[in-house]
Amino acid sequence: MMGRIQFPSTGGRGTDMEDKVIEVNFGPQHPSTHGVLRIKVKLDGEIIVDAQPVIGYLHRNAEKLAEMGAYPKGMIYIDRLDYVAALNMELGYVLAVENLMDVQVPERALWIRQMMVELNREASHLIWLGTHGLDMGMLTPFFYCFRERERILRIFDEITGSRLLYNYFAIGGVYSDITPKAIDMIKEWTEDFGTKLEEIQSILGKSYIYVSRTKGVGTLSAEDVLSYGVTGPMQRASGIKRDLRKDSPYLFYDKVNFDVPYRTEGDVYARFLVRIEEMRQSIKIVKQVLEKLPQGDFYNKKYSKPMLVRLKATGESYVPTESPKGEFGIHLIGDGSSIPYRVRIRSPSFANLSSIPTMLKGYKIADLTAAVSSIDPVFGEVDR
Amino acid sequence: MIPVESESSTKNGIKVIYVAKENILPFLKEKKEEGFDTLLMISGVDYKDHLEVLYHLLSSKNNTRIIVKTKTDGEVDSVTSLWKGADWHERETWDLVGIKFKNHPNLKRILLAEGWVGHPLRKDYPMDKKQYVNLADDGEDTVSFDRGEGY
Amino acid sequence: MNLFFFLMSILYGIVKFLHIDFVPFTYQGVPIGLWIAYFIVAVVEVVLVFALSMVAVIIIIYVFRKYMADVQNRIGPNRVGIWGTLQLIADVFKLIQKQDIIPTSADRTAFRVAPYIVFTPVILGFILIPFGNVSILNLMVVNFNYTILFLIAFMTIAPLGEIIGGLASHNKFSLFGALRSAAQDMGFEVPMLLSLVSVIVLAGSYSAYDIVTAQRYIPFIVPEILGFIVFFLAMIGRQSIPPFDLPESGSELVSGFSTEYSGMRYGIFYMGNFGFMALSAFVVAVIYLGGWEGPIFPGTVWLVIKGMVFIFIFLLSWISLGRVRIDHLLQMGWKYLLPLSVINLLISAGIALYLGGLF
Repeated sequence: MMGRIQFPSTGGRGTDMEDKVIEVNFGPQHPSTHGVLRIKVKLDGEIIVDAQPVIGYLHRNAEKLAEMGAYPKGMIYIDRLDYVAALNMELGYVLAVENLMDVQVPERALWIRQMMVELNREASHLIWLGTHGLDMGMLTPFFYCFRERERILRIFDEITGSRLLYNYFAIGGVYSDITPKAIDMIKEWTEDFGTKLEEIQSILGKSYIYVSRTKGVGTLSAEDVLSYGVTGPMQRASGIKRDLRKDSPYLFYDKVNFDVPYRTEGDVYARFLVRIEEMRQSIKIVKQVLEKLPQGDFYNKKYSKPMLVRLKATGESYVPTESPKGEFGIHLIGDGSSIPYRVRIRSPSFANLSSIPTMLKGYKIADLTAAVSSIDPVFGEVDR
Repeated sequence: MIPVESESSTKNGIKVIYVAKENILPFLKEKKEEGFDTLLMISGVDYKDHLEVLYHLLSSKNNTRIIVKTKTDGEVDSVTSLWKGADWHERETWDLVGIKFKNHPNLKRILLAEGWVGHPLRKDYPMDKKQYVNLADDGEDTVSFDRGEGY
Repeated sequence: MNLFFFLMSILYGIVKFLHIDFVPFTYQGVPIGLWIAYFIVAVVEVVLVFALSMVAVIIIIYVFRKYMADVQNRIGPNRVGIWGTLQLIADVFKLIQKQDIIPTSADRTAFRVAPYIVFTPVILGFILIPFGNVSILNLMVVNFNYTILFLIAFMTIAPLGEIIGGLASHNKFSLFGALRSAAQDMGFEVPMLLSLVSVIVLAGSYSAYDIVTAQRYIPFIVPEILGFIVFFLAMIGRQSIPPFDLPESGSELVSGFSTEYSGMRYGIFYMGNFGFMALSAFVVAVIYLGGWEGPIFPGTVWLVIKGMVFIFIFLLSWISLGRVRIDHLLQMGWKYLLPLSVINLLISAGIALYLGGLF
């Protein structure tokens, strides 16, 4: 397509592009790579011949850090994995630790956890939706999404005291109870978020340009999905109806009513629809939790704060949870001391991202941004 | 049937199977044919006297999981021929724990820069020795013990 | 500033040369003072139009930012001046202060010249727009028989600056931006010119003045609705604003052809783009909506109203639409717009043949 291109004279340093294939580095500093993803792309004109992701620019070795302190101390590193859905990360850790130590958690705490996790799923999906629109050249949905996310963050601020990294779930419960003001805020939010979501969806989904750019782009077949270990909305968009909240319910997901949306196309548009529908289902879950929220303790009185650092555990435990990006779980191995022997993080984005070469081959540069943003990678979690 | 060394389970009832390291590839192949179609992750654990490799398998149809473990001294067969996703997981395990995977197509470091000394998740990894990453002329990262302009 | 002034004076000279018979001061006893007076008037007119175009650009950028902010639930500029009206001036000062960075491997001359190639023709284009038809103060700076051709020529030069800037930056993203710019311009130019030809066929003249006067009863948008659609889309495409902002394409190619530009050079690109937007809005208003023609208000007011309508449509498409992919865009240009414009040309030829008296 491009043939021979000669740069204008550059003082004897002109690049003569005899080869048809150009290698371009997308990232790590590039507006659409969602953090620090770098993709080495080989291009034939506008067509992608080969795409190899390079990761590790945000590597902090959270696993090693979490293996260096007592069990509750690991929480702050786990918080910083998927920083846009920190509560979902905390949940995975807290469930694993409680499972390892046989800690009983009061019902109210579990319900609160479930509600908070769903709210955080909404916040995470809203960030995805906004940045996805931005990648498709739309500036406006980004602001609408962040406006809505802001309301969720205000609720979090009211309940947990912080907006991004909460450190809210504790071993044996949660750190603070839900205030009546927060309940009012959540109720108000559940009432009108549905219409706002409709509005945002129509900006993208009813635009011919958006639909024509996303249909049939970045396709992953069901076999590829299984082979790469892709989970979460990406998996459900490729025709595999799996949601851990339904399949192996944790918390009280078996006591609430919700559907698992799935589609069979496996392209960017299908992922878009699946995520939007998931957000609707999350509203449903939050509404039901508000109805069913029982009175009682919000943490197990046996596990007071000074006690927590002295908790000891043996054996191993892995509790899979459904984070906004896919299956998240932590494999904990205890050696009988108060420090975990091994903390192994199963991060969904890492596996999802490894499917990039298959997803991109043969598509155009413009599809690269569409496909990468449809993975919804968060680099705190990919690089750990 | 591939012989199983021993069986146990995690606290929440996921089956843990120990397999000899020579048998790991045929065993996983057998399990894949049994319906365990998803490889969730591969992890390595340093038990000071030996290393262990963990394979988390999931059957998406039957909704069952198993964890396959194998004891090794630092080398196992690669399972990239069974699952494409194993590529990155094995690279990560090599990078952080230092377990070599035989017949892996591209066994390079993935999270740390190429040239890093040591494997951080080993229990004897010196935590006080700082290594610095610099940008080489060809755009790739290099690692050294002196600071340079790196970070 | 001197550069523009100089260029415009030269151009004005050329244009006047075409317009009137060249009269040497010894010929037919015309006093030399008249020539000087004529020159002064010309200079004043040029300065006026330059000021007007600059003010138009400033107003458009301000309106755009405020409007966009309003749509997106933001406040927009509100710090400098009343309601942030002086924000653009502050931005210009900020950009001037910035370090002037030219990549070492860039082609320095081409890199420096490129922003002016985008900016200058836009300003030059404004002198060819017939702003009004007031008998005493004729707001047409230049009026000769080929204004519309010159106008289109200027609008064709401007995107060349993008290509030159992109190639000169010696950056792969810029290169892709430049190539996309070239492909896009080719895709849109041919249908645009063909639909312009049908207007010329109907008006029977190359002069913008004649094209406007030909629309005193019926604006050309009525018989030439196809041509209008083609021309309007092509105009959005030529400005490379969303949804056709492929040369720049913020999320894919970093910033496309302007990746390596910073400081005032980038500012000139930016202003050139908005100037181009104003210019193309006026051109569409002149060609299809009858320029200054309209009841009650003076002609200039009508032209500005019509131009502002188009500018708002441009802004609306900018705010609400995503970016098209390059193959979709080229398909649109060659597969749909080109045949449409050919059909339109045939229709207008028929109209000119059988209903020629209408216009």
